[in-house]
Amino acid sequence: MNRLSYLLILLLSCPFIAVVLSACDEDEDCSETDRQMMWCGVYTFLNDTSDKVINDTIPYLTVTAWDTDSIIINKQQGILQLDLPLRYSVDSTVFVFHYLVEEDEELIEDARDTLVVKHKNTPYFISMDCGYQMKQEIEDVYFRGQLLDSIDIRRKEANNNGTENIKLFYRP
Amino acid sequence: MEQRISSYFIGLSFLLLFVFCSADSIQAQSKENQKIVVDTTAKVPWYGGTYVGIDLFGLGAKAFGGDFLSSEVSIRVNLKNMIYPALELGYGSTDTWSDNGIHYKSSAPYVRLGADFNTMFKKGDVSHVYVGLRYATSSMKYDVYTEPVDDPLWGDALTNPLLIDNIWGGDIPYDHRGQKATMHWFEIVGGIQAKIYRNFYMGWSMRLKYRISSSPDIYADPWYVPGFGQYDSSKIGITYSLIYKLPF
Repeated sequence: MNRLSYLLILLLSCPFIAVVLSACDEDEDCSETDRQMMWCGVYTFLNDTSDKVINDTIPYLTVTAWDTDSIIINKQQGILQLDLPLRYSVDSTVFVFHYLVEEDEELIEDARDTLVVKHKNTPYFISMDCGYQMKQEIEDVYFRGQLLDSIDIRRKEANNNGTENIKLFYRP
Repeated sequence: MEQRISSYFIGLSFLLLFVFCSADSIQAQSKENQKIVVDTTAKVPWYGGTYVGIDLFGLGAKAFGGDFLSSEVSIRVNLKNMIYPALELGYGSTDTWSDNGIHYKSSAPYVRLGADFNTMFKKGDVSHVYVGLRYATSSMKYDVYTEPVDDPLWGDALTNPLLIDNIWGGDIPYDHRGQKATMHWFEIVGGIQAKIYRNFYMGWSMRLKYRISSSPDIYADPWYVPGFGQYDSSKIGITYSLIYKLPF
Protein backbone atom coordinates (compact mmCIF):
# COMPACT_ATOMS: atom_id res chain seq x y z
CA MET A 1 0.00 0.00 0.00
CA ASN A 2 1.21 3.49 -0.64
CA ARG A 3 1.12 6.34 1.80
CA LEU A 4 -2.17 7.67 0.48
CA SER A 5 -3.86 4.32 1.10
CA TYR A 6 -2.72 4.32 4.72
CA LEU A 7 -3.93 7.86 5.19
CA LEU A 8 -7.29 6.98 3.65
CA ILE A 9 -7.68 3.98 5.95
CA LEU A 10 -6.70 6.16 8.85
CA LEU A 11 -9.33 8.69 7.87
CA LEU A 12 -12.11 6.23 7.13
CA SER A 13 -11.62 4.52 10.45
CA CYS A 14 -12.63 7.75 12.27
CA PRO A 15 -16.40 7.46 11.80
CA PHE A 16 -16.28 3.74 12.55
CA ILE A 17 -14.51 4.31 15.84
CA ALA A 18 -16.85 7.18 16.68
CA VAL A 19 -19.86 4.88 16.11
CA VAL A 20 -18.32 2.12 18.25
CA LEU A 21 -17.60 4.57 21.05
CA SER A 22 -21.13 5.97 20.99
CA ALA A 23 -22.64 2.47 20.98
CA CYS A 24 -20.61 1.50 24.02
CA ASP A 25 -21.71 4.52 26.04
CA GLU A 26 -24.48 2.75 27.96
CA ASP A 27 -26.43 4.06 30.92
CA GLU A 28 -24.93 2.90 34.17
CA ASP A 29 -26.68 0.22 36.21
CA CYS A 30 -27.28 1.79 39.62
CA SER A 31 -28.95 -1.19 41.29
CA GLU A 32 -25.97 -1.37 43.68
CA THR A 33 -27.25 1.74 45.41
CA ASP A 34 -30.61 0.17 46.30
CA ARG A 35 -31.08 -0.07 50.04
CA GLN A 36 -29.38 -3.09 51.61
CA MET A 37 -31.61 -5.13 53.92
CA MET A 38 -31.13 -7.71 56.65
CA TRP A 39 -32.80 -10.90 55.40
CA CYS A 40 -34.19 -13.25 58.05
CA GLY A 41 -35.34 -16.82 57.46
CA VAL A 42 -38.01 -18.41 59.67
CA TYR A 43 -37.36 -21.93 61.01
CA THR A 44 -38.96 -24.22 63.60
CA PHE A 45 -37.42 -27.10 65.52
CA LEU A 46 -39.15 -30.40 64.85
CA ASN A 47 -40.04 -30.76 68.54
CA ASP A 48 -39.03 -29.47 71.96
CA THR A 49 -35.92 -31.63 72.22
CA SER A 50 -34.81 -31.93 68.60
CA ASP A 51 -31.91 -30.07 66.99
CA LYS A 52 -33.42 -30.55 63.52
CA VAL A 53 -35.21 -27.62 61.95
CA ILE A 54 -37.62 -27.09 59.08
CA ASN A 55 -38.68 -24.00 57.19
CA ASP A 56 -41.75 -22.45 58.72
CA THR A 57 -43.99 -19.43 58.41
CA ILE A 58 -45.22 -16.87 60.91
CA PRO A 59 -49.03 -16.72 60.54
CA TYR A 60 -49.41 -12.99 61.19
CA LEU A 61 -46.70 -10.49 62.07
CA THR A 62 -46.27 -6.79 62.63
CA VAL A 63 -42.77 -5.36 63.04
CA THR A 64 -42.29 -1.92 64.54
CA ALA A 65 -39.29 0.27 65.17
CA TRP A 66 -38.56 0.33 68.88
CA ASP A 67 -39.32 3.56 70.68
CA THR A 68 -41.11 5.05 67.69
CA ASP A 69 -44.52 4.68 66.13
CA SER A 70 -43.06 3.55 62.81
CA ILE A 71 -44.45 0.31 61.41
CA ILE A 72 -42.03 -1.59 59.20
CA ILE A 73 -44.23 -4.61 58.48
CA ASN A 74 -47.96 -4.31 59.02
CA LYS A 75 -50.06 -7.42 59.72
CA GLN A 76 -48.33 -9.48 57.08
CA GLN A 77 -49.58 -13.03 56.65
CA GLY A 78 -47.63 -16.28 56.18
CA ILE A 79 -44.12 -14.90 56.52
CA LEU A 80 -41.37 -17.22 55.35
CA GLN A 81 -38.63 -14.61 55.02
CA LEU A 82 -38.32 -11.06 56.36
CA ASP A 83 -36.27 -8.20 54.97
CA LEU A 84 -35.58 -5.55 57.59
CA PRO A 85 -33.89 -2.15 57.10
CA LEU A 86 -31.01 -1.24 59.41
CA ARG A 87 -30.48 2.33 60.49
CA TYR A 88 -27.96 4.52 58.63
CA SER A 89 -27.13 7.08 61.29
CA VAL A 90 -26.46 4.84 64.32
CA ASP A 91 -24.83 1.44 64.75
CA SER A 92 -27.72 -0.44 66.34
CA THR A 93 -31.30 -1.07 65.28
CA VAL A 94 -34.09 -2.39 67.49
CA PHE A 95 -37.11 -4.17 66.07
CA VAL A 96 -40.22 -5.28 67.94
CA PHE A 97 -41.97 -8.36 66.57
CA HIS A 98 -45.71 -8.44 67.36
CA TYR A 99 -47.11 -11.93 66.75
CA LEU A 100 -50.80 -11.72 65.95
CA VAL A 101 -53.64 -14.23 66.16
CA GLU A 102 -57.05 -14.04 64.63
CA GLU A 103 -59.92 -13.79 67.04
CA ASP A 104 -63.49 -12.92 66.08
CA GLU A 105 -62.27 -11.84 62.65
CA GLU A 106 -59.81 -9.43 64.22
CA LEU A 107 -56.05 -9.63 64.63
CA ILE A 108 -54.87 -9.16 68.16
CA GLU A 109 -51.37 -9.33 69.63
CA ASP A 110 -50.55 -12.66 71.18
CA ALA A 111 -46.84 -12.42 71.93
CA ARG A 112 -43.88 -10.13 71.41
CA ASP A 113 -40.11 -10.39 70.83
CA THR A 114 -37.54 -7.61 70.72
CA LEU A 115 -34.56 -7.93 68.39
CA VAL A 116 -31.44 -5.79 68.82
CA VAL A 117 -29.05 -5.73 65.86
CA LYS A 118 -25.55 -4.27 66.24
CA HIS A 119 -24.09 -3.29 62.90
CA LYS A 120 -21.31 -1.31 61.24
CA ASN A 121 -22.25 1.32 58.65
CA THR A 122 -19.90 2.36 55.87
CA PRO A 123 -21.06 4.97 53.34
CA TYR A 124 -19.60 3.96 49.98
CA PHE A 125 -19.24 5.99 46.79
CA ILE A 126 -20.25 4.00 43.70
CA SER A 127 -20.02 6.52 40.87
CA MET A 128 -20.92 10.05 39.84
CA ASP A 129 -24.15 8.90 38.18
CA CYS A 130 -25.26 6.47 40.88
CA GLY A 131 -24.06 8.26 44.01
CA TYR A 132 -23.67 6.40 47.28
CA GLN A 133 -24.53 3.10 48.88
CA MET A 134 -24.63 2.36 52.60
CA LYS A 135 -22.74 -0.85 53.27
CA GLN A 136 -23.93 -2.48 56.48
CA GLU A 137 -22.28 -5.37 58.27
CA ILE A 138 -24.12 -7.20 61.05
CA GLU A 139 -21.87 -7.65 64.06
CA ASP A 140 -24.22 -9.17 66.61
CA VAL A 141 -27.88 -9.88 67.25
CA TYR A 142 -29.57 -10.07 70.67
CA PHE A 143 -33.17 -10.82 71.51
CA ARG A 144 -35.57 -11.16 74.41
CA GLY A 145 -39.22 -12.01 74.48
CA GLN A 146 -41.69 -14.85 74.34
CA LEU A 147 -41.45 -16.93 71.17
CA LEU A 148 -37.96 -16.79 69.69
CA ASP A 149 -35.76 -19.69 70.76
CA SER A 150 -32.44 -18.76 69.17
CA ILE A 151 -30.77 -16.85 66.34
CA ASP A 152 -27.91 -17.74 64.04
CA ILE A 153 -25.98 -15.20 61.94
CA ARG A 154 -25.30 -16.77 58.55
CA ARG A 155 -23.94 -13.86 56.55
CA LYS A 156 -22.84 -10.51 57.90
CA GLU A 157 -23.25 -8.24 54.88
CA ALA A 158 -26.70 -6.76 54.42
CA ASN A 159 -27.73 -7.11 50.79
CA ASN A 160 -30.45 -6.46 48.25
CA ASN A 161 -30.48 -9.83 46.54
CA GLY A 162 -32.33 -11.89 49.14
CA THR A 163 -29.31 -13.69 50.60
CA GLU A 164 -30.21 -14.83 54.12
CA ASN A 165 -28.38 -13.01 56.91
CA ILE A 166 -29.88 -14.53 60.02
CA LYS A 167 -31.97 -17.56 60.90
CA LEU A 168 -34.80 -17.12 63.40
CA PHE A 169 -35.52 -20.37 65.27
CA TYR A 170 -38.83 -21.04 67.01
CA ARG A 171 -40.00 -23.96 69.16
CA PRO A 172 -43.26 -25.61 68.19
CA MET B 1 -20.07 15.20 23.95
CA GLU B 2 -18.44 12.22 22.20
CA GLN B 3 -20.03 13.32 18.91
CA ARG B 4 -18.33 16.70 19.27
CA ILE B 5 -15.01 15.03 20.00
CA SER B 6 -15.42 12.66 17.05
CA SER B 7 -16.30 15.56 14.77
CA TYR B 8 -13.17 17.35 15.92
CA PHE B 9 -10.95 14.40 15.06
CA ILE B 10 -12.66 13.72 11.77
CA GLY B 11 -12.12 17.39 10.87
CA LEU B 12 -8.52 17.24 11.99
CA SER B 13 -7.95 14.11 9.93
CA PHE B 14 -9.37 15.75 6.80
CA LEU B 15 -7.11 18.74 7.32
CA LEU B 16 -4.01 16.62 7.83
CA LEU B 17 -4.96 14.45 4.88
CA PHE B 18 -5.29 17.50 2.65
CA VAL B 19 -1.98 19.02 3.78
CA PHE B 20 0.06 15.88 3.51
CA CYS B 21 -1.54 14.55 0.34
CA SER B 22 -0.60 17.85 -1.28
CA ALA B 23 2.97 17.35 -0.15
CA ASP B 24 2.77 13.78 -1.36
CA SER B 25 1.59 14.76 -4.84
CA ILE B 26 4.36 17.36 -5.20
CA GLN B 27 6.95 14.76 -4.33
CA ALA B 28 5.28 12.28 -6.65
CA GLN B 29 5.47 14.72 -9.57
CA SER B 30 9.21 15.22 -9.10
CA LYS B 31 9.73 11.48 -9.18
CA GLU B 32 7.24 10.94 -11.96
CA ASN B 33 9.32 8.79 -14.21
CA GLN B 34 11.35 7.02 -11.60
CA LYS B 35 10.73 3.36 -10.99
CA ILE B 36 11.29 2.01 -7.52
CA VAL B 37 12.36 -1.59 -7.27
CA VAL B 38 11.91 -3.15 -3.84
CA ASP B 39 14.12 -6.09 -3.10
CA THR B 40 11.94 -8.22 -0.82
CA THR B 41 14.76 -10.67 -0.23
CA ALA B 42 17.01 -8.02 1.32
CA LYS B 43 17.86 -8.67 4.95
CA VAL B 44 15.81 -6.51 7.33
CA PRO B 45 17.99 -4.98 10.05
CA TRP B 46 17.23 -5.79 13.70
CA TYR B 47 16.90 -2.15 14.65
CA GLY B 48 14.63 -0.09 12.43
CA GLY B 49 14.27 3.08 14.47
CA THR B 50 12.59 4.55 17.52
CA TYR B 51 9.23 6.32 17.34
CA VAL B 52 8.14 8.88 19.91
CA GLY B 53 4.47 9.87 19.89
CA ILE B 54 2.10 12.12 21.77
CA ASP B 55 -1.57 11.32 22.14
CA LEU B 56 -3.91 14.10 21.07
CA PHE B 57 -7.17 12.34 21.88
CA GLY B 58 -6.87 12.77 25.65
CA LEU B 59 -6.11 16.47 25.30
CA GLY B 60 -8.79 17.04 22.63
CA ALA B 61 -11.46 15.21 24.62
CA LYS B 62 -11.02 17.59 27.56
CA ALA B 63 -10.93 20.64 25.29
CA PHE B 64 -14.28 19.59 23.83
CA GLY B 65 -16.09 19.17 27.11
CA GLY B 66 -14.97 15.80 28.46
CA ASP B 67 -14.51 15.17 32.17
CA PHE B 68 -11.04 13.68 31.91
CA LEU B 69 -7.75 15.28 30.88
CA SER B 70 -5.11 12.85 29.76
CA SER B 71 -1.70 13.36 28.18
CA GLU B 72 0.53 10.57 27.05
CA VAL B 73 3.93 9.96 25.50
CA SER B 74 4.63 6.70 23.74
CA ILE B 75 7.92 5.13 22.68
CA ARG B 76 7.96 2.28 20.17
CA VAL B 77 11.05 0.57 18.85
CA ASN B 78 11.05 -1.09 15.45
CA LEU B 79 12.69 -4.53 15.57
CA LYS B 80 12.99 -6.34 12.22
CA ASN B 81 10.06 -4.19 11.00
CA MET B 82 7.87 -6.80 12.68
CA ILE B 83 7.85 -6.41 16.46
CA TYR B 84 7.47 -3.01 18.12
CA PRO B 85 8.08 -3.11 21.90
CA ALA B 86 6.15 -0.19 23.36
CA LEU B 87 6.28 1.90 26.51
CA GLU B 88 3.53 4.44 27.16
CA LEU B 89 3.71 6.94 30.00
CA GLY B 90 0.85 9.23 30.77
CA TYR B 91 -0.83 11.44 33.30
CA GLY B 92 -4.57 11.73 33.79
CA SER B 93 -6.65 14.03 35.92
CA THR B 94 -10.22 15.04 36.60
CA ASP B 95 -11.92 17.66 38.73
CA THR B 96 -15.62 17.13 38.23
CA TRP B 97 -18.92 18.00 39.86
CA SER B 98 -21.86 15.75 39.15
CA ASP B 99 -25.37 17.09 38.54
CA ASN B 100 -26.41 15.86 41.97
CA GLY B 101 -23.61 17.59 43.87
CA ILE B 102 -20.78 15.07 44.17
CA HIS B 103 -17.28 16.46 43.77
CA TYR B 104 -14.62 14.05 42.49
CA LYS B 105 -10.99 15.09 42.14
CA SER B 106 -8.09 12.90 41.14
CA SER B 107 -4.80 12.97 39.25
CA ALA B 108 -2.20 10.28 38.78
CA PRO B 109 0.35 8.87 36.35
CA TYR B 110 -0.04 5.59 34.53
CA VAL B 111 2.23 3.28 32.59
CA ARG B 112 1.64 0.73 29.86
CA LEU B 113 4.13 -1.83 28.64
CA GLY B 114 3.73 -4.22 25.73
CA ALA B 115 4.45 -4.84 22.09
CA ASP B 116 2.85 -4.51 18.68
CA PHE B 117 3.05 -6.85 15.76
CA ASN B 118 3.26 -5.34 12.28
CA THR B 119 0.74 -7.35 10.26
CA MET B 120 2.32 -6.16 7.02
CA PHE B 121 5.97 -6.74 7.85
CA LYS B 122 6.54 -8.70 4.62
CA LYS B 123 5.73 -5.64 2.52
CA GLY B 124 8.50 -3.63 4.12
CA ASP B 125 6.45 -0.39 4.31
CA VAL B 126 7.18 2.14 7.01
CA SER B 127 3.44 2.75 7.32
CA HIS B 128 1.66 -0.24 8.73
CA VAL B 129 -1.34 -1.80 10.41
CA TYR B 130 -0.62 -3.49 13.72
CA VAL B 131 -2.10 -5.46 16.57
CA GLY B 132 -0.68 -5.63 20.05
CA LEU B 133 -1.02 -6.22 23.74
CA ARG B 134 -0.37 -4.01 26.75
CA TYR B 135 -0.15 -4.50 30.46
CA ALA B 136 -1.03 -1.29 32.31
CA THR B 137 -1.20 -0.02 35.85
CA SER B 138 -2.05 3.13 37.74
CA SER B 139 -1.97 4.05 41.43
CA MET B 140 -4.16 6.99 42.20
CA LYS B 141 -5.35 9.23 44.99
CA TYR B 142 -8.83 10.69 44.90
CA ASP B 143 -11.08 13.00 46.85
CA VAL B 144 -14.83 12.47 46.98
CA TYR B 145 -17.27 14.62 48.87
CA THR B 146 -20.74 16.08 48.80
CA GLU B 147 -21.35 19.61 49.97
CA PRO B 148 -24.05 20.06 52.63
CA VAL B 149 -27.23 21.79 51.52
CA ASP B 150 -28.24 24.68 53.77
CA ASP B 151 -31.68 26.16 54.08
CA PRO B 152 -31.02 29.86 54.79
CA LEU B 153 -34.72 30.52 55.45
CA TRP B 154 -35.33 27.93 58.14
CA GLY B 155 -31.73 27.39 59.21
CA ASP B 156 -31.87 23.68 58.52
CA ALA B 157 -29.12 21.77 56.77
CA LEU B 158 -28.83 18.43 55.03
CA THR B 159 -25.30 17.15 55.44
CA ASN B 160 -25.75 14.85 52.45
CA PRO B 161 -28.94 14.93 50.40
CA LEU B 162 -27.74 11.85 48.49
CA LEU B 163 -27.63 9.49 51.44
CA ILE B 164 -30.85 9.92 53.35
CA ASP B 165 -32.31 7.19 55.54
CA ASN B 166 -35.87 7.42 54.32
CA ILE B 167 -37.12 4.75 56.74
CA TRP B 168 -35.47 5.69 60.02
CA GLY B 169 -34.66 9.33 59.26
CA GLY B 170 -31.41 11.27 59.17
CA ASP B 171 -28.74 11.67 56.51
CA ILE B 172 -25.12 10.67 56.42
CA PRO B 173 -22.32 13.12 55.52
CA TYR B 174 -19.75 12.01 53.02
CA ASP B 175 -16.35 13.69 52.85
CA HIS B 176 -13.44 11.35 52.22
CA ARG B 177 -10.34 12.92 50.76
CA GLY B 178 -6.99 11.35 50.03
CA GLN B 179 -8.37 7.90 49.22
CA LYS B 180 -6.04 5.50 47.45
CA ALA B 181 -6.52 2.78 44.86
CA THR B 182 -4.43 0.75 42.44
CA MET B 183 -5.66 -0.90 39.28
CA HIS B 184 -4.04 -3.30 36.83
CA TRP B 185 -5.45 -4.02 33.41
CA PHE B 186 -4.50 -5.29 29.98
CA GLU B 187 -5.32 -3.94 26.56
CA ILE B 188 -5.80 -5.54 23.16
CA VAL B 189 -4.63 -2.99 20.64
CA GLY B 190 -5.34 -2.58 16.95
CA GLY B 191 -4.06 0.41 15.03
CA ILE B 192 -2.58 2.01 12.01
CA GLN B 193 0.46 4.23 11.64
CA ALA B 194 1.00 6.22 8.47
CA LYS B 195 3.92 8.32 7.35
CA ILE B 196 2.86 11.86 6.59
CA TYR B 197 6.08 13.75 5.93
CA ARG B 198 9.75 12.88 6.35
CA ASN B 199 10.10 11.60 9.93
CA PHE B 200 6.55 12.54 10.94
CA TYR B 201 3.79 9.97 11.25
CA MET B 202 0.28 9.90 12.62
CA GLY B 203 -1.80 7.02 13.87
CA TRP B 204 -4.99 5.75 15.40
CA SER B 205 -5.22 2.93 17.82
CA MET B 206 -8.32 1.35 19.26
CA ARG B 207 -8.01 -0.48 22.54
CA LEU B 208 -10.15 -3.00 24.34
CA LYS B 209 -9.27 -2.64 28.01
CA TYR B 210 -9.97 -5.34 30.58
CA ARG B 211 -9.49 -4.96 34.31
CA ILE B 212 -7.24 -7.61 35.87
CA SER B 213 -7.50 -6.42 39.47
CA SER B 214 -8.21 -3.37 41.53
CA SER B 215 -7.88 -2.44 45.17
CA PRO B 216 -10.26 0.44 45.91
CA ASP B 217 -10.36 2.32 49.18
CA ILE B 218 -12.83 1.24 51.88
CA TYR B 219 -15.09 4.26 51.23
CA ALA B 220 -15.19 4.47 47.45
CA ASP B 221 -14.58 2.91 44.10
CA PRO B 222 -12.40 5.16 42.00
CA TRP B 223 -14.57 6.83 39.38
CA TYR B 224 -11.75 7.68 37.00
CA VAL B 225 -8.68 5.53 36.41
CA PRO B 226 -5.93 7.39 34.51
CA GLY B 227 -5.12 5.55 31.29
CA PHE B 228 -8.20 3.36 31.57
CA GLY B 229 -11.08 5.80 31.73
CA GLN B 230 -14.22 5.50 33.78
CA TYR B 231 -13.91 2.71 36.35
CA ASP B 232 -15.47 -0.49 35.03
CA SER B 233 -14.57 -4.07 34.26
CA SER B 234 -13.89 -3.26 30.62
CA LYS B 235 -13.68 -0.20 28.45
CA ILE B 236 -12.99 0.83 24.87
CA GLY B 237 -10.35 3.49 24.34
CA ILE B 238 -8.78 5.39 21.51
CA THR B 239 -5.49 7.11 20.93
CA TYR B 240 -4.80 9.54 18.14
CA SER B 241 -1.10 10.22 17.96
CA LEU B 242 1.39 12.42 16.23
CA ILE B 243 4.62 10.49 15.98
CA TYR B 244 8.20 11.44 15.27
CA LYS B 245 10.81 8.94 14.20
CA LEU B 246 14.11 9.73 15.87
CA PRO B 247 16.93 10.23 13.36
CA PHE B 248 19.05 7.43 14.82
